[in-house]
Amino acid sequence: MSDMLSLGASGINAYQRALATVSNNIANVATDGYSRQTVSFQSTTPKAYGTNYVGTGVGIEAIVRQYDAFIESNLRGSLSDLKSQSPLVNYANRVVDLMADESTSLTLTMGKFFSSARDLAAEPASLIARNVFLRSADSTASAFRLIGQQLEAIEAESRIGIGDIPKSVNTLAEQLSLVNKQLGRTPLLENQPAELLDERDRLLRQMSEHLRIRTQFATNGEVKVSLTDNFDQGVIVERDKAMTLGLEVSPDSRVTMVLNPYSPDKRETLGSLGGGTLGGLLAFREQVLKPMQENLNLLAKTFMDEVNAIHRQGVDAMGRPGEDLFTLSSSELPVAQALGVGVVDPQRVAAASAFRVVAEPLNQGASLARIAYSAPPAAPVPALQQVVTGINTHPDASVLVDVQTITPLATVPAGSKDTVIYLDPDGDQWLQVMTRDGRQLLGKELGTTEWNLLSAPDAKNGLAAGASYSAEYLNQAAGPDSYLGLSYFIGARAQFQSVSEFDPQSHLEIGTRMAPARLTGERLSASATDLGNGTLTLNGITLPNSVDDVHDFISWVNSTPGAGQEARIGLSAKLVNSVAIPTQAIRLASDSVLYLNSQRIDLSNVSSLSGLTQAINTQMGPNLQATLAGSGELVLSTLDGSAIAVGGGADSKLFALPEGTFQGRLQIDASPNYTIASLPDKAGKSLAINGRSIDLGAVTDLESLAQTILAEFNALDIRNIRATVTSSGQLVLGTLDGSELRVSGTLFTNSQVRRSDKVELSFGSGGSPAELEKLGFRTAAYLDGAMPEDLLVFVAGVGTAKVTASSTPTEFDAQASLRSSPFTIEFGASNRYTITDKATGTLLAERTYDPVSRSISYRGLTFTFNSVVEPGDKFYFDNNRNGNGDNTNILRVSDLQDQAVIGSYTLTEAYVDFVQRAGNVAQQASLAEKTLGVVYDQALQTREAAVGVNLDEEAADLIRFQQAYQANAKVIQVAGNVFDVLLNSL
Amino acid sequence: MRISTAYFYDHATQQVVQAQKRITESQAQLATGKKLINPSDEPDRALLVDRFRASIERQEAVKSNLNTQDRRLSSQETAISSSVEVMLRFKELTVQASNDSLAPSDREAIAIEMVNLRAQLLELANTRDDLGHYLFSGASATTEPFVETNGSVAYVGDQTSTRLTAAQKGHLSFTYSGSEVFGRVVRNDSSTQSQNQSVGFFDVVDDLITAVQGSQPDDIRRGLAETDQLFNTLNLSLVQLGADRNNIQQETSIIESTVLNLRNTLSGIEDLDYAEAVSRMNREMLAMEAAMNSFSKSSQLSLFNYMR
Repeated sequence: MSDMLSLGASGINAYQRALATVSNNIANVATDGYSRQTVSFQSTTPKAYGTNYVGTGVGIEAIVRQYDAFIESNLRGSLSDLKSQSPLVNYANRVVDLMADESTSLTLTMGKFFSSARDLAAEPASLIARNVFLRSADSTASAFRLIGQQLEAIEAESRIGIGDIPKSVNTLAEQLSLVNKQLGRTPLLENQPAELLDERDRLLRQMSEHLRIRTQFATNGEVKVSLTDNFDQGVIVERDKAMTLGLEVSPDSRVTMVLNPYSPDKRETLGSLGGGTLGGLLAFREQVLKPMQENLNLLAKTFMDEVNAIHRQGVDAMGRPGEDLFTLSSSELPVAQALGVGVVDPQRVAAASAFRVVAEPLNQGASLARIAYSAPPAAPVPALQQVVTGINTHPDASVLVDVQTITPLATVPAGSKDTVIYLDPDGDQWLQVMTRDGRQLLGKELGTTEWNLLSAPDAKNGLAAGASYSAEYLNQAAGPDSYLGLSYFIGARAQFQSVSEFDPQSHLEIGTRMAPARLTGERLSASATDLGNGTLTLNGITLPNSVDDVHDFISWVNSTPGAGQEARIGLSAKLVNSVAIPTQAIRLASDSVLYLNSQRIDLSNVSSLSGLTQAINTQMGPNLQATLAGSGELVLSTLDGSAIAVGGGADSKLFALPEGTFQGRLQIDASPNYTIASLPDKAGKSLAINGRSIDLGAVTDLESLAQTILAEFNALDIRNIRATVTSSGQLVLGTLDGSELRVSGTLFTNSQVRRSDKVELSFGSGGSPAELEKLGFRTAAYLDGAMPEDLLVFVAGVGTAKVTASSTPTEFDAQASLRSSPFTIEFGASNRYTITDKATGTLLAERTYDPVSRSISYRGLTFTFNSVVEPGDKFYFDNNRNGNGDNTNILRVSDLQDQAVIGSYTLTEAYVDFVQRAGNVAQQASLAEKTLGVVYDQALQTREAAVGVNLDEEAADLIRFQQAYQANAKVIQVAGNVFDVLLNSL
Repeated sequence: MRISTAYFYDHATQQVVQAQKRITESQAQLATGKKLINPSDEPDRALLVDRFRASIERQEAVKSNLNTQDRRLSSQETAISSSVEVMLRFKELTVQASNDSLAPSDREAIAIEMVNLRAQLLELANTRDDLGHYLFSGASATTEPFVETNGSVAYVGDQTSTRLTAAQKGHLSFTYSGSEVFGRVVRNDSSTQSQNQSVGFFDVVDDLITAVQGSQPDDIRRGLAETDQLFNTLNLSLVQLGADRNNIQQETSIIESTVLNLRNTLSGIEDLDYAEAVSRMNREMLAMEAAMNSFSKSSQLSLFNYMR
């Protein structure tokens, strides 16, 4: 129908809608995310009148939502980028502000610490300066703690910030899935409500503020959102389903994002997520916070360790070694947060050097000396435990070593405790032990030629440069004549020892007793004769020339000791022989054959082990006896220790053992011995021997005491007690039969009664380990207790030797050892000088002084002399006990300020570097924020240009559509008029 | 290009906010007189400031150390110059006593004064500073250095030197131990033909007093020569002290000029150029005013105003 009225009506209709759309645009001028809508008109289908077509009016083609997918996605991307910078900037700035601020900066705090160390160096004896130093150490520690805690607070805050993000993202994802559900009802985008699409875009934009997202749109506008670069993983919204985003924090504060954290089968760990606030926070933690915390802890640890190392090397105002200045309050916390000061008493600040050297004021030379210490270089010889591995000292465990007279086998490192080195010689071989300064402790004295070889300048044998030889302390018994009073011994020895005692009924341990010394050798070889003249000593007494074989030896030991031989009082010797055959090795059969000492044992009636022992005992006579031991062995023994020859038939041996003759062993027994050096004041005191009270009335000296004791026991007809006074005036108490002797009462204190029984077989002038072996004894070098310095062990002779050893390494503090042993350096004629131990008078070293270098090195100490020294000049080395005015050590602490201790940086430089790196990140981020702000602004402008509402434009549209509306109304009016005219004309 | 109304308003607001921010920053700079308000504004500069501060602090500390040492040297100087004067009088008396015309009783009278002088010398050698620490005991600050046992005086201090950080690099070292200042003499006893023998300061004095008391001319003559040696040793220490104190003065002036330099540089780094800051602030205020004015004007323009 093409008439004016309907044409006008179609216009009215269309423009009403258009005006409504414009009004809607105006109404939504301030609505976030609103896209402007425009109306497009379309003329309706024309009508044919004959050959002409007449228009039928206008219709709304569509109300279009202004939208550009590219612009929108661009906006989201630039928003993510922009938002990722601000947390980085904000947090990194906070870190920089914290660490570079004057009030908290460690540059200044550490500077103050070192300055206070310097102040103390200027007045080391001042208690005030010490106090100030401690306080400044304390403020340095608390500055570290403060920064550490603040960084941790920032860490916690950023973690909470990250923790909030999944919550927001999950809400948005949920809303998006609802929007998708709505959109899903309509198949075509054009038919979707514009507001719904606006809502979708608004939600997407909000989400990209938090993190970077990827989107994919379906034809009907439904959106699929992924948190990763592709849609295979990390999809958080798909159609009407939303996944849950969660986060996990590892113990080392590393944050990982996880999809569907609570459903194990759909759980998805997301790699690095970037963009948005989340990306910014993660970047801050990774790029700034974490390295900064690590660096701060490294700095704190280095600072603490370096200062402590120096502080421990010094001594405090009271002459005691320094302890750790800085300590950690907890091992759980990071170092920076646990740092504290361990020293409370200002007198404990170790400002002084641990060592001091004082020139004798009456020296003729005017030289003063200075000391430097650095840990002494180890000898270029492997330690004993590396050469002789293991602690098994059985001969079978020996290692075969090449005998080299001028190259040490090993060093016994300082601190080695109770070292025993066994040598099983092959021919004429020797064990030699000497100090690194050529003091020989054990072995055979060296000749000039040997020493010259040994001390050749290029010999790499661990000897100190310029060392000289001395046999003064060689093989000396512990005491004033031994090196530093130490106890060392070479040969074979046995000492009294503590053994447990058991109750015979209950078999429970009821106590311990001191068992007398007993030395038992290996099986003798049949040809053990021809002991060289004076080759061996027993308890220091040289064997007489008449002793030529084992039997001579036994009768000599058992003879009554003459004058000057008191050291062997109470010793006895005999041969013992027993052969133990495990019962499993005994094959009792009708054809078994057994020869003992070439006599065939009749086994015809023997059917059991007890029968076998009986048969042996009845057939062999009293000397050879067989017993069954409880431990499951058949033991054959001879009363006189003579050899036992065991044999059998060709293939029907009774004993599954190698046949042969088993020689006896030499056994030397000591009876209990007590040595008493002097008689104390007896007034009001008592004495009891084996529980019997001794009347002290007539006792005037040790000799009369010995007589009184013997008389008391003789009166009771007890004859096994010994009491003799030696030629050196000592009283020796003991028993004759090896039974125990108890000394009680108040006359002697425990320390005055010295247990002294021992069996010590060593070498005389010509003896050697090979001689000792003839008596069945193994030679060993015994170094009792802990050695205060390195010792060199040589195996001298030719060929190869078997060596085994046991030793307990202990912690050795070289400085403490030096501090506890003051010594004197004394110069003599022709530039010789000696180093003498103050406590024992031991001559530790004797060398030649180099007047050009003017320095002396001894065990890590270097003495430098500033002027000429004259013969007779003395320099005293000690532990600086009175050196409370010495600033050497605290000056070293202050010098730390200029030392490169972290890579090539000083402490301060390292700190500056760390902070600078954080500062750079912040600066870069700040710059990026500005640039990205511009980018975002442009994206926003573009979007607003495309879809934003401009009121002026709308005003113009309003006028346009209003005028069109009015015109159409006029058309209707005209149509009415036309109609009226028509009617009126009728 | 279309400008949406919302964008127009947002943009204008942002511009004003930016201008305001800049003015606030300038205002804070003017108020503090510093270029840097927060270290994070310019981390490099802030760290540089920290380092300069630390350097100045360090130099000042070194200077105060040197002052402390100078005070100590000054006390030592006083004690030594007093000792020199006592020794002078001692020498005079020795010369008097060596006069052959004197009667033994006259010499005894002289010896009485000499004994007094010897006591003064011992007191001077054991002088303490204001903290009660001995001046001539080396590093054993609380150990009396010269101890008299059975009439003989022995030195029990040490010779550990005091080392201090120097202004530029390395250390300065000072040693005035009693064993050097009150040094020994080497006595060549011609009578016994024995080797040269060292005799301590106070033993020389004591031997001389004994000689004067006993009127032993040979020993008095020997003593006179030895007193000269002691006197020289004391004087030598004085000279050395003077040199050391001079050295400290030099070091101190080096530090002072270094600190001045550092302060100048630091000021250049951290202090604000007021003229520049004020003119910048004026400029910023002008810009802000312009932004606000133009906004209020342009926002009044609207097509709706013309719809009647």
